[in-house]
Amino acid sequence: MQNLLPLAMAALVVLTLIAWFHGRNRAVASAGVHPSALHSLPGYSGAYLAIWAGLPAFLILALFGLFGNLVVDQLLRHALPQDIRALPVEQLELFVRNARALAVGGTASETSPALLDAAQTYASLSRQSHVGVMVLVIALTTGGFFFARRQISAKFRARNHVEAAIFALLVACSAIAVLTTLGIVLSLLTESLRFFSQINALDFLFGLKWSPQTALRADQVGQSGSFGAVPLFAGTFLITLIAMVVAAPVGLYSAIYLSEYAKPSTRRIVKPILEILAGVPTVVYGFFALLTVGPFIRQTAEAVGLGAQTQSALSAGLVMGIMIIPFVSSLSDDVINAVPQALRDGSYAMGATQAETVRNVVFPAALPGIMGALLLAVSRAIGETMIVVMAAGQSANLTANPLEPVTTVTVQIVTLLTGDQEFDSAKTLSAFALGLVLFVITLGLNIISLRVVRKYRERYD
Amino acid sequence: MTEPVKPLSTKVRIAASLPRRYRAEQRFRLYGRAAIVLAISALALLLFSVGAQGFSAFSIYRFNLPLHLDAKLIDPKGTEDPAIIAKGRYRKLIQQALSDAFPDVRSRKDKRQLYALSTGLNSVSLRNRVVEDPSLIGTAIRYTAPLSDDLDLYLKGEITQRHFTNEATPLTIDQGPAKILTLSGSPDTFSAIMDQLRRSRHKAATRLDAQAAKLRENLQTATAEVAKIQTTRIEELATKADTMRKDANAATLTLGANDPSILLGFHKGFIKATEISPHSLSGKVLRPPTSMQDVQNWRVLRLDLPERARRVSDQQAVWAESLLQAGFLKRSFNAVFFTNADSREPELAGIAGAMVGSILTLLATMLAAVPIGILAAIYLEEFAPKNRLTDFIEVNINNLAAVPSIIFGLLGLAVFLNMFHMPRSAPLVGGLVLALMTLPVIIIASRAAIKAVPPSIREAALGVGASKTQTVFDHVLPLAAPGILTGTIIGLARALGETAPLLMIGMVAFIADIPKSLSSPATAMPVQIYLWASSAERSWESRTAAAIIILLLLMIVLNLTAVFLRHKFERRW
Amino acid sequence: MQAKASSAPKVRARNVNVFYGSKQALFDVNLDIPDCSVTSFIGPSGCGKSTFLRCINRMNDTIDICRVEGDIHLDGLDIYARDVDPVILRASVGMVFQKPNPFPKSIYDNVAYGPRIHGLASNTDELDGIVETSLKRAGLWDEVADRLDEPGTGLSGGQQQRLVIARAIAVRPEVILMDEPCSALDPIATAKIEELIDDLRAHYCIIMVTHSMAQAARVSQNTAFFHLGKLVEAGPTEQIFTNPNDTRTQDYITGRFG
Repeated sequence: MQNLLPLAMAALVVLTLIAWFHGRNRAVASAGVHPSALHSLPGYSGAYLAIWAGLPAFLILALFGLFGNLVVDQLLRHALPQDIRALPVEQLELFVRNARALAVGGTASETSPALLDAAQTYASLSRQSHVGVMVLVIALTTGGFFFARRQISAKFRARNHVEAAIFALLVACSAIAVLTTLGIVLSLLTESLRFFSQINALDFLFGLKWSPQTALRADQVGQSGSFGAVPLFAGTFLITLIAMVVAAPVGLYSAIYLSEYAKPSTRRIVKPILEILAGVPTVVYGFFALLTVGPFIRQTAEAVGLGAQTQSALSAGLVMGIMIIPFVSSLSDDVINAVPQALRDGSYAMGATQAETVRNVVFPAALPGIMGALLLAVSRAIGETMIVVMAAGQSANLTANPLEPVTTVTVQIVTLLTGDQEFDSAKTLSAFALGLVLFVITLGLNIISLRVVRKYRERYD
Repeated sequence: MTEPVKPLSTKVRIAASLPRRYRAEQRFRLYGRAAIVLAISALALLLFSVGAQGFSAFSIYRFNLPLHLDAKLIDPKGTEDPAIIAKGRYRKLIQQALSDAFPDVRSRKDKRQLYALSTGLNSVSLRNRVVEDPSLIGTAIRYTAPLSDDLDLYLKGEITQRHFTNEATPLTIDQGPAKILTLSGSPDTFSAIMDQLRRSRHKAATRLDAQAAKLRENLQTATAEVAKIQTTRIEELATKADTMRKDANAATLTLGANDPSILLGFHKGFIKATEISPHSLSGKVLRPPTSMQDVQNWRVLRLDLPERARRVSDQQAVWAESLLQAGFLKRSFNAVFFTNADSREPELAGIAGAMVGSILTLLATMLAAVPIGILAAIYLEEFAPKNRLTDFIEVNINNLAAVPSIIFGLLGLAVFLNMFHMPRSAPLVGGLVLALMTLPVIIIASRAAIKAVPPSIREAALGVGASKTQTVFDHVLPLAAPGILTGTIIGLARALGETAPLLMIGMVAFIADIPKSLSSPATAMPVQIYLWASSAERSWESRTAAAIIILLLLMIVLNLTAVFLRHKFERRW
Repeated sequence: MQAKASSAPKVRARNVNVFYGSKQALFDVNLDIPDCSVTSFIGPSGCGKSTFLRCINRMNDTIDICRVEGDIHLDGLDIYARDVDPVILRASVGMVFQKPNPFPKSIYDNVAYGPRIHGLASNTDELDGIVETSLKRAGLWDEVADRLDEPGTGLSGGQQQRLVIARAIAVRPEVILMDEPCSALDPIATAKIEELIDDLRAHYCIIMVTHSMAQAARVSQNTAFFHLGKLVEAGPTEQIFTNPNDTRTQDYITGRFG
């Protein structure tokens, strides 16, 4: 039954193609010996017919592919005996999952007569739903086909109809960007609200102790977990600070040198090299931090008599700084190039040297844009995940010592969600609360910096 | 406003300020250059360290050992039933082959060590070979499989340097008490070895002194209790260092657990030195020599790292050396790395699974993001009315481009997995998540490309009576295609290197099979790199680096394609 | 104050050729420019008058592909000699551009910019004095005296241009180059600038590129006519406008081309 879907899709494609040809031929035939009598090109009539025949059925099939299992699961739940439906949510969930696995010939974690019954019910429900959908699809295809077929004639404005459909498609595609944002906000908010119904939001935002291990079972002796996120914010801040201390001067000076001093030939070579730095995957930087920079920092620190570990805020921050250099430099480069030449000429004509011109005229003129670029870089550093996951450590230290391991918001999200997770536990939900904080902060930074940069561009355009 | 102009004094003052100003100019220029040099050397260091660590993973030592496919262990009743053949005792066969190579190994402990030369998982490939061709049963074949990763590292000299010296002075061999042989020669035969040993002992003693000195430094700040413990420790260290120096100067050296291993090879055998004097050397037999006659040509293998500090014992080292000398081990291209999926054993682990996973994921990303992205760009650039809604969409897209990737992972987890119940760890879900992440990049690049098409083209098309849609799809889009393509490829290259969102939707599981479809469990290249980088064993390091090299090569190919397309089709109006 | 009587020209150009890459922009220009007077360069667009102007303070050095041949002397000293530092040269040959280009700083800082970088003032009082004198001389002091802290970019176009002139004056130049200083201004602002130029003539050698022949006739004592990279004719303004020697000058002045 599962394999029916791709087959149906393929059949639908063939049918749509046939509809296209048929519509085209019909239009040509309707025009008779005067092709110019047609309002629209015959291809448009074909497309019109194809859209009516294929699109509704396609949408139904796609929706069924995405949500079919969900519907069948729900149906099964209603069909289950009363005693099983009374089970706690997690066990019911497991039961349904096992029944589905057995029904499609997979392996279940346990078997019981009740389960086998349920599997059979599942299989029959699944079969019924497939048949139902297929009937619906066939009906839609034929219905659409004949409805559209009747309309095709020489005077029919097929092009306008097809263009309206295209327009709708274009709008739908643009709406996906908005839907994505909406999806992010809604999913983070709902899960976070569930978290805050268990844990006080103030405790989360201002608490000093982070140890999210909660007792797995109610009867287990264990901590109830504490969710004070301040150590994570502090760790994130520390690493971001180190990264910016590296990236801001290096990125800015490279941008200034490249845009004001370097010969075009140098520029042509150096700029792509810096771009390579931006293209290296973050996991590679993480590896570099873990196996090259971390040990080097540890050995150096030990040589001068300081205690240090391989995983430290310093190594993560340094490597993240390297990663952000091209980001800062290319954004600042754009900003500096946007400073009008007239200002430079004015300064040179006063007898200023190049450095004086850059420092006293170009840089102040570019400052708002540069601030925007730096803010974007900060937002990038705060949201960066892999480097810190690999090189900063897991321990929630509240420290300002860069040689100690610290943990960050992103590290904790990964840690909380990559292990075994039980849904609805405060531990898992806290990851979404952290995600919400991360999203709000980076969104704020992005909006401010994008606005600053745009304002700045407008000033000199 | 008529005060006299004083050109001279102005000029003099300016001239006086010049040296200072030019120095500042030089400094400023230097900072700029230094910044660029710093950035480029960081990149060079990164690439070099990855290259240096990954290089050795591309070759591997493989067995090439005679192995008798004993019918008794595979199919004792001669049924030729594939089900029975599949259940044969292949692990035992491999162990048998190793035992045949070293018939002197008797004790259980030694045998276990010997069998560790080949991982038990190798039996799977041997089984598959036999199941495929049952006629092999009962014959002798060449068994080829990778050597255990620790010994592979040892032979590559990555655990400790293998110092070989060949000697050509005559030695007589005397049988000592149980398993001890004594070699004697002219008075100065072993002086050089002894000097080496003495030097290394003095060095170790100096290290102990340094440790003690450091502890003494901390003593002042320590609490009384800690200070007491530390004082004892300092004394211990001092005594140890003293003994070590005294031992180093003795006329006859007795080798202990902290000394380098000195292995003497002769007559195809090996002994491990336990006592050395200038004219004679006694040692424990690790592999019996084929004869006890006087020997002319012999060699010394010195391993500086003491045996207890490494994962490969002297005994195993000797076996590996013997196999290597006999031609039963060959260093060759590590093909397994490119054909296998992940494995618990480093020597059997490969990137094929992750690579296919990445390709499938990228395929899903492409199918979802490219059409949607291009159509959205067309709408925003060509059709959208200038109103607040359009502005809102634009701001949205720009912000999405800067949202941390891990947030997209959270979105995927909450929506695709928990709400839609799509399969965990599947390339389909990973691809969709990455598509949402790549979408803004593609939209922004496509809009730029569409914007670059001059209005005259549109006017010309509209002028001959084409509709707006026809103008866009027939005239603008083909001209913008190269730019769109370039932006798309760059966006996909970024998606290829992305890790964090895939972790969120469970693509970090250990998956030992090559994924077959968009919905089968899979992992991706960057995630594989992350997984291997977090593994403790040394052999993973080089494999991680090698996987990084492959990933970087893939990304370079993608980016070069983009650059090539840009150059080939670049057009300026 | 009486104009300084000087027989020797302030600026003397001999056989000046300028190339942009392989393209020649100026051909064998020979010209003497007297001190304490206004000299106008006129000619159609692209005739090389701005290029020649930019040679006089070596602003062309900032363009990579530009090459200057020939001699230009300022007070008898070759400004293209090896030991001449463009920094010093530009301090004594100021320049005002077509579009007012005040720095994004306060009015005070704009004027103080030159004295500061060149170290012309040893204390703030002295600097205040230089700023005040320069603004007064540029005729801007009365309009801005009470808002010196406001950004220079907030002034009107004409005020900005006078601010830029004040900025140039602040480093006490001997020559002031003006590249179409009024082309971006309205008639009233233009009149003010022209008045200012007439005032400044007493102390400086002013060289001005202009598109407006009326302006050249109004403010300059000498005029040079450029055409297709060549200096066609130069002389007292009166003579150029009433009785030119060359027919091309005649045609340009009477509006046959341009």
